[in-house]
Amino acid sequence: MWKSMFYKEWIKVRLASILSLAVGTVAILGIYLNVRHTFIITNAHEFWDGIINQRHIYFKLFKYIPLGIGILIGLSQFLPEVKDKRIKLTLHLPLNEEKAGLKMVAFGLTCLLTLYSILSALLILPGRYYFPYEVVALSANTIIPWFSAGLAAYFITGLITIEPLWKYKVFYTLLGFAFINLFYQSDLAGAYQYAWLPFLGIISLVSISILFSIYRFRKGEM
Amino acid sequence: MENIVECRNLTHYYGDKMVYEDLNFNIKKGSILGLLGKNGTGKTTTINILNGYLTPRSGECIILGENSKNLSPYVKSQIGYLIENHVQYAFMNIYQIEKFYSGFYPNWKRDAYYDLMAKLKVTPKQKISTMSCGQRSQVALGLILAQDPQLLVLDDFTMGLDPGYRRLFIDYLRNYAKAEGKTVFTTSHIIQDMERLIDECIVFDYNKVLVYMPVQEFMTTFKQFDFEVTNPNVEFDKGGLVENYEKMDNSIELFSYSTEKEVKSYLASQGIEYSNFKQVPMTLEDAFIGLTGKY
Repeated sequence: MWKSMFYKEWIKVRLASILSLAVGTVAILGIYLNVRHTFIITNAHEFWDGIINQRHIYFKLFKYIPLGIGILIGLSQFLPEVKDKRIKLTLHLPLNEEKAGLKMVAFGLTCLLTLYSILSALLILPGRYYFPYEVVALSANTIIPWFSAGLAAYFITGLITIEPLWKYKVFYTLLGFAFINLFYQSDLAGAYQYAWLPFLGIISLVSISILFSIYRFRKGEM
Repeated sequence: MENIVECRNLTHYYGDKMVYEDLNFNIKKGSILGLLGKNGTGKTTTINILNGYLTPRSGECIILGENSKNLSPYVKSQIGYLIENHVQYAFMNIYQIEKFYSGFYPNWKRDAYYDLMAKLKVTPKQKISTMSCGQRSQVALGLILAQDPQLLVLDDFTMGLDPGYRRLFIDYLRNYAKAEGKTVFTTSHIIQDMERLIDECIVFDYNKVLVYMPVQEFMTTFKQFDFEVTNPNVEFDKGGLVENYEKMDNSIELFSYSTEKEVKSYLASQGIEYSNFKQVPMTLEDAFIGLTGKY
């Protein structure tokens, strides 16, 4: 049943996944072309000073990409379910309804973590060619909140999309906007290095919020 | 005979608007029950309650021994559900959707699905979203046949189908249900052709059940009488002998469970002068409209 459920989810998100990977890769390519250009053509000294002493982020272009990917995967996974109330088909499968919902979320999470792992590797590893270990470690620390925002956005997108009532949709959207905004408060590298663990705790709670929408759907609030 | 479905004292409201109160019906094993009614009379509400998508204000539905509010995966596997407009996972193609569903049902009958698909003029890679309504109805039916459930719940399956597909769907379904001893619960607001399918019928009107009986009994006991009255302002009291009537100038169509003799005697007792009195044969659709009215 896991296999069948993942098969359906993959059919829904495969295009969005490929698109996300392509956009992320092109952005990273652009970032390193820019780094190379700065080192070779313009002022490498100032660039180094900015990164080491002023904690500038040299890959700011990447900032909202994980967020966009999270929303895109969420929409491509859950919109087809609510169109024509197809969620009824999913909830009618011979599975516990909550398990069916959680399996969908588990697939989306697996998909996102895979995409994020690939993009993190593409972003961080080439950095070792240009920068010392400390800068690369700080870079890794910097992108964690962005990926966390992407995960939160995915779960919240699922919650909003499955939610049957518009007033709740609006409420969740406002709440989600405020929550995700927290991940983008600082533009300094490593600014969140002591905060992302509590954030991940909150995201874990958000991850099961879709169950609430499913429960309300089954109560007939559609 | 064993009941596959037992609905007891079902009552439901949307806000203050009553859908129905104390609705009771059973579906016997191997029978085909049609829930007929105009739009908005509560047909889909009943289907939603049966499938556990809606909690009634009071009352309960027992399906294969379980309350519909909490159906186990096993009981769900024994219910084939066709959603209004033949909704399926339209982002899949014929091959993908079969592969997907087969993973959930241990007794999946792949051949039953592909036999039906072979009759469609579509390729296995064709997406369901690009198919006509008639073709989508066959995909949805094929999936239910492959699932091989004990109970088939079909929500307004005639919607959007042209007469050919409607006939094909009904004939295929009836043959299958009778040959395999399946129980069917179906709703429809298009009554044409339902006569060919259902054994028993429930006719809903707004807030009430007008009829719950075998179709054959309904068709033999419910009658239409046409006649012309001298006084065009004549009115009839509904509820007693007269179930319903339609009037156009001097022509009257009167619907009743009473015999011709009883109706004539009633007209005489009311002092109503009439001529050209005759009993008119009806189809199920005529009877349905006669009972529920044109409006």
